[in-house]
Amino acid sequence: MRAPPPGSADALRTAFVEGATTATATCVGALARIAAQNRDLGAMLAVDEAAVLRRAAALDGLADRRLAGPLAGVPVAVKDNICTAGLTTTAGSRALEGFQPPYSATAVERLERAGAIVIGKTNCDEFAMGSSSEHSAFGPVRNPWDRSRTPGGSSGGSAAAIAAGLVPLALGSDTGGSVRQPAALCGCIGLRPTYGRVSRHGLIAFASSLDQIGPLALTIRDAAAALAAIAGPDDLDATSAPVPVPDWGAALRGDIRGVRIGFPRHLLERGVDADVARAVEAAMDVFAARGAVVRDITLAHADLAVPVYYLIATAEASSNLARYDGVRYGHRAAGADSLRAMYEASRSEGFGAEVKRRIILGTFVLSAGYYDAYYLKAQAARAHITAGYASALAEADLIALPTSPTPAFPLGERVQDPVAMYLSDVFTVGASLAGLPAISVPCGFTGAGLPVGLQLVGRPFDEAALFCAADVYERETGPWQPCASGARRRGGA
Amino acid sequence: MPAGREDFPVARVAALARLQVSPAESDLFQAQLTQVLAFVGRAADAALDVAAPDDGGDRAPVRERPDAAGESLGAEAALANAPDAIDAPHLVRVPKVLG
Repeated sequence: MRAPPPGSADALRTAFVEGATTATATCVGALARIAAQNRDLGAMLAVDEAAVLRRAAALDGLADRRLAGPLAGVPVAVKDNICTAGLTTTAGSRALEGFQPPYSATAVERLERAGAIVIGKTNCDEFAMGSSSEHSAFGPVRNPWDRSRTPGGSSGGSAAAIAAGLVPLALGSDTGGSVRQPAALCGCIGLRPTYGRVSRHGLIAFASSLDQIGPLALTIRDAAAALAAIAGPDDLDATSAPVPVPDWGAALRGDIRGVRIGFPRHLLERGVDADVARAVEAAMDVFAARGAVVRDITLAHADLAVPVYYLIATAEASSNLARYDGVRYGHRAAGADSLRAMYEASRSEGFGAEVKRRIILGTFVLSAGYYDAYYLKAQAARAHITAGYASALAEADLIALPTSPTPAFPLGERVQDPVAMYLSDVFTVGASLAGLPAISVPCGFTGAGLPVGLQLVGRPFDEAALFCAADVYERETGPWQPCASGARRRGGA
Repeated sequence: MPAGREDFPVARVAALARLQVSPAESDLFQAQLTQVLAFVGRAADAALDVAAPDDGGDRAPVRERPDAAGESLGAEAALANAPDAIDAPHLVRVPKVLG
């Protein structure tokens, strides 16, 4: 087996189990990096140092560290829309400022059961609505590779934390690309599991037919280990699928011979940065050289994916966010003299502009007279898009795409132009609508030194195929490192 | 083209969503949402059968659990984040509903 890269979760866990380090030393290092870098990065929102060190000391005190779990002694950052008992969870919103969840999300509980240590919460677009992490009530996240640019979003804090080397693992949530797109823009790995693979219990809901929790990391082995820790059915989430969790480590065998990769080259003809297109095409050459069968395919109705996504996601958001009324938790406006006035003032003070825009659009498309014209047609179009993916995946084992049409864009560039921002998701929303697993892996750099992401989309519950192909690509072009190391990755543009 | 595309009714829809929008926000949202609606409306304009095709996807069965009372959060924890809670009995206080 290959030696894990220094600083990876695998390396830290091995060192912890073998007694070469302690969880306390690992966490002290992570906390020091956060203290040194976060003021500028804005990646972390809440860190409870005392709780982190207590947990680390408890792990260090175990009689047999081998029993501490597959992520023993590994610090993990968790997106701030995933509930953590006793640790403030805001989803990047004034509406939830100071909210202390009474329970942890199932994914967090499972991470901790695997021996991981939640180091803190990561900044994100408010209620995960955005593609740049600028729509946080607590300030934007900056991209570690170029701090004048966004890290992508909405899990931008998680991606920036990985890219800056603060932690080796993070959790994000992916509704329309919110794990994959920031991973691409920050040069790390981001996985959206199959819909139903990971419990959403404790994930603050945005669009429930789309939301999934997924890991971000810098090695495929770490991403696979994190998914293995959080995956599997959960009685607290009826949409979690009763599907066995395989041994994804076995998929990392470095052999992709005969695997059919469908490449919808026609989608790169418009609106894709030339360096991004070149990097992704170069990745196809890498796969072909390792024995994969790469062939051009057509992805039907792909042009409708972004419009359909923004009709369905906003409709679901308008319903999910109706719960923020200032009564049982969250922000309550002062001085209202009626219940309705209190609802309206609390919501209007609590929500930022992008959340209000999406709630208003979603309410509109569900309202009498417009439901049939917009929402119902979007649902039908969603089924056509899903059928298009199923058809493509009948003739290919994987679909390869850019993750984002452009590299990281300057802060402020798209924040007042919602359509331009929504088009950041043009290559990621399709897999979301179809409920398919998809991974973004680092795929070289632009001429300006900005990371590029390659996306692979697989069949339902076949994350193994994603890990297998991504592992081959990592062997060929990795190791992928945080930008703080000053290392430039090999391969790609 | 579905109705409402050209002139997004911000004030009426915001009221449905229990949101207040200032005149400045209303003007900004009007322009932005009119643009957004023209964009997302492509999905509504697409000549696709409303009778959706079988998407061919493997769907896991929906998990069900017994319809029985189980553990709950408890009143104290449930009220711990309430902006205006009364400890005993466990209640939240809100403005008058009736005059």
